[in-house]
Amino acid sequence: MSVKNHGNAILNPKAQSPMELSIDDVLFSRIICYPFKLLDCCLYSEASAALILASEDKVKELKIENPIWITGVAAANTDCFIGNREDFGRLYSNIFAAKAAYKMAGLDYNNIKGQIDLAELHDAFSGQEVISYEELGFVPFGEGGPWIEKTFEKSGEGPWLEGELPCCPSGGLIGCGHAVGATGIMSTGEAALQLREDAGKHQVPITKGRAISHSIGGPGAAYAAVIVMANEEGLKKP
Amino acid sequence: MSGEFQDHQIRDVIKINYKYTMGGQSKFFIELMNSKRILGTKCKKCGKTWMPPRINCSDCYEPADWIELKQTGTIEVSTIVWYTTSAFIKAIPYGVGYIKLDGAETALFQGIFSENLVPSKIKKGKRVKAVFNKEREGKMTDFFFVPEDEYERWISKPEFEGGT
Repeated sequence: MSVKNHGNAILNPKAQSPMELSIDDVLFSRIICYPFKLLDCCLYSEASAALILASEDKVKELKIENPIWITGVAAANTDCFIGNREDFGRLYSNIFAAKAAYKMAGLDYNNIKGQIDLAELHDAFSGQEVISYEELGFVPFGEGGPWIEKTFEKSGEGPWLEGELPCCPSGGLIGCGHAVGATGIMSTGEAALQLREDAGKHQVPITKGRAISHSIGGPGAAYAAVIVMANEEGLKKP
Repeated sequence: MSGEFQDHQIRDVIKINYKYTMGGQSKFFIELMNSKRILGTKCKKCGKTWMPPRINCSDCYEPADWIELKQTGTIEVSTIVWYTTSAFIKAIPYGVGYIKLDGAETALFQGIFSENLVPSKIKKGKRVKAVFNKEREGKMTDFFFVPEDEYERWISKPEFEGGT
C-alpha cells in the first residue's frame, strides 16, 4: 500500500510525498504505533483544493464542455466513541455510505469493481485503504490484504496503477499529503480529472466512465462519505 | 517620518491557571482517587452497563445508576505506542487499548503496561487487571491495566498498589 501510493505520487506533480520504495523500506522504517511504521502514515500537511459545483441547468446554460456528473453521494456515521462499537476492526460507516451512494448512482455493491474505472480512497494510514477495499465492496471481507499483496509487481491486477481497479492513482493521502479538510475535495477532484482524462502522467484508462471518491473522518474514523461520479459516457452506460 | 516599517517584538510566556470540572462524571474520579473503586453506570430503563460511565444512557437517553465494576477485564483491541505527545513521550514504548471490564457492555480506553511488552502479550482476548498509583489525583492516569499473570509483581512495586 505504502509502496503503491508513494510510487503513484512520483507521477503526480502536485503530490508532496513521492517516493520510490521497496517493501523492506516500509517495514524497516521507524515504528510509530504498532503495527504502523513511519511510511505507513501520511504526511500531515497544509494545502488547498477546490471544486466548482454547478446544477445541471447551469452546466447546460454555460455550455460547459466535458462536465463530470455526481451521480451518487452518501455519508454515514458509526459510534463516535470507539468503546461503544461491537466490532473494533470494521468501519460500518464505510459500508453504509458505499451501499447508499452506489444505490443512488444505480450501481451494484456486489459488482462495483467491474463498474468503475478507479477509486480515490482515504488512505491516511495504509491499513485504512486495505479495509476500504473490503468495505467499499471491491473484494470480500478479509481479502483486502491479499488483493494488494498477491498482485505486487503483477501488471493488470489488483489496485495498482495498471491494475484491474486502480486505487489512489494520484498517490492518495500517503502520496500527496493529508491536508485535513482539503483532502476529500482533493480526492474528488482527482477522480474528476481522471474521468475527464486530464490527470496527466498518472492517468488511468477510462472505459466505464465512472469513478468513486471516499473520505473518512471524526473520532475513530466514525464518519464516512462516498461520492460516485460519471462523465458523459459513464452516464449512458448501464 | 519615512522609511520602511519595523515592528518591535518581545518574546514572552503566558501562563494560565485554570480548573475544569468532570461534571456528571465527577463521582467516577472521586471514587477512583479516594477508594480505588471503578464505577460504571447502568441504565434504569434498558439495563445496559456503560463503561466509561454515562450519567444518561447513550442508547435510550434515560438516567443511569452508578454501579461498581470488577477490576478485571478482557482486551478488545490494542497497540503499542512509539510516538506520542509531550505529556507521555518519556513513557514510550507503552501499550494502550480498549478493555471491556467484566460486567460492562462497552469498552474503556486505557494504558496497558507489561514487563514484557510485545504485541502478543496484550492482544485481543488477553485478560488484564487494574493497578493503581499510590499517589492519585482523580485523573485517568491514576490507574492502568497489566496482564493478570503480572499483577502481583506490579502491585509489589513501591509506587503502585492493588485495587479493591
